[in-house]
Amino acid sequence: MATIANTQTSTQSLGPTGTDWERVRFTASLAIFGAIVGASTILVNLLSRAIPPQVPEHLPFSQSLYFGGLSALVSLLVVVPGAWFIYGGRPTFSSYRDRGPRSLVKWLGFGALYGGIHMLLLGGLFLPQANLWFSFINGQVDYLQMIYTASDNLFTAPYLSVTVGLQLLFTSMLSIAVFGLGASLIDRVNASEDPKTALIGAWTASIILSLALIVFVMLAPERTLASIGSLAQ
Amino acid sequence: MVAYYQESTRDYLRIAKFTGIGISVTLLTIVVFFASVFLWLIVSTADGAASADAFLETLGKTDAAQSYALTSTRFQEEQDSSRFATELDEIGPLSFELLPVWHRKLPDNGAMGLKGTLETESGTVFPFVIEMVDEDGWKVRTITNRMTGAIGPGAWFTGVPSEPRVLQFVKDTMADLGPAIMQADFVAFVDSLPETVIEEVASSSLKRTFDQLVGQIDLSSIGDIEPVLNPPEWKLITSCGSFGGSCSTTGVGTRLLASGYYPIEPEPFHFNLIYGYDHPDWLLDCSFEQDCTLSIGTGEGR
Repeated sequence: MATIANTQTSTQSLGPTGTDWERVRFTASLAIFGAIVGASTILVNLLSRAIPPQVPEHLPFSQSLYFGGLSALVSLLVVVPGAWFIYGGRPTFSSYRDRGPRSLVKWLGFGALYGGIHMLLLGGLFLPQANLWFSFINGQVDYLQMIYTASDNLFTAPYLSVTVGLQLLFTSMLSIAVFGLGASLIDRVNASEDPKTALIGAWTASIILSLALIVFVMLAPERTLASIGSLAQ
Repeated sequence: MVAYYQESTRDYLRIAKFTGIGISVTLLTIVVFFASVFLWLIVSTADGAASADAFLETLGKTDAAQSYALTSTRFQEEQDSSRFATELDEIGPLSFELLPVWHRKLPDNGAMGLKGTLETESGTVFPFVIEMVDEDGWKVRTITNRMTGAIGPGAWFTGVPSEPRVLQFVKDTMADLGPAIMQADFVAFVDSLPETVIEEVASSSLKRTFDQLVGQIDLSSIGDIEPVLNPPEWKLITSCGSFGGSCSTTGVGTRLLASGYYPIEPEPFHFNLIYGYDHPDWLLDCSFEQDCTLSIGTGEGR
């Protein structure tokens, strides 16, 4: 007769175990695309800041890489946890669960969240600190000034996120649409019922969309980019 | 009725532990980052700062040529050794000191700026900047305590011009002004001035006093006569806005009043000429607010 004392705890898993590659793939694909959208956002934004008679001009390559990389990093900070959370965990009692695709409207909503957080984080914290660092390494501010200003930037980050962040408003609005559309496509491919399409498709879609965006930002006329960045204002 | 006890599923100790680790790692990263940057700064500026220190030490000595040898090519192109010596003479004995390492900036394109303080004999302390450039070792490109405007290569201080220099300013001015008075041609005099001051001088009080002298004095031999400066040879100029508002005294080394006379018979020829420092030269700087005058005679009524 079984008694409570004889009952043994089971260590058997209730669902699939190991790395959730499906989730990793989705997150990584979206992170690549999000990073490129982020980099493009700041580069287009900097072009759109030229006020006539100033002619919008691309930054030198090293500076484009610096500011683009910074914005891409902020995007990763937003997209990676976001995508991981949105995709969700494995079902516990089944080996199958419908984990996508989400509707375009939903993705535009996520895009808005991405654009907003990216704008506030970049404008409030990362861009002022990056500008300061840029000034320091170019011998424009001394070490003590750098430390004072860095701590000042840190404490005024909420204020800066509004004042500096608002300068990114129009380009961020644009990035919402671009990110929403691109992410929706990646999500659809990733959720394909054909395992091969799902496996390769998400990476492919992400890389193709990212390359297209890079080529567009690099080759499109600066005036056009500036005009797009300011929403043709 | 049965009471149930359910243990919390949240492990608060674990959360606190991870939060603590997170904060510590972040703080440590920040400290390590700033410490590394500081080390980087020390290493990259050490040679330049050592050369600047060596140069500043030589400034305290009497041999200007020794200091001049430590300056860069651009410095020597812009300022010859005699002007360099003049600048050092005019500022007088000073002690220079560079600010501590944390006030340094990283070198950029083979050049770096260092800040410091210079103390005059009277104990007044002024800031100065020394720019170093890397050309086969660090050399001095600029050293100045003129903190406004664009100052090019050279040693430029807000020193007071020596009496012989002030006399030379007056003689140069009179070399053009004397013949102009004789010919009653103020335009000829104004045209001899640098373009930057023409308009101001043309509309200044100098024109009024110029007109009063025409036909009253023989200045044909003024070039042969030595002017005499009234003591003090120079003084600060206080300029005011409209109706006496916003009065300010312009500091040493930016304005000087050369006041004196030419011992001409039968009556001396008096002058009050104002010179302004327009980098790198002193130029006649008469304007509505800065009264330049010429007169003849003796006593109060002249």
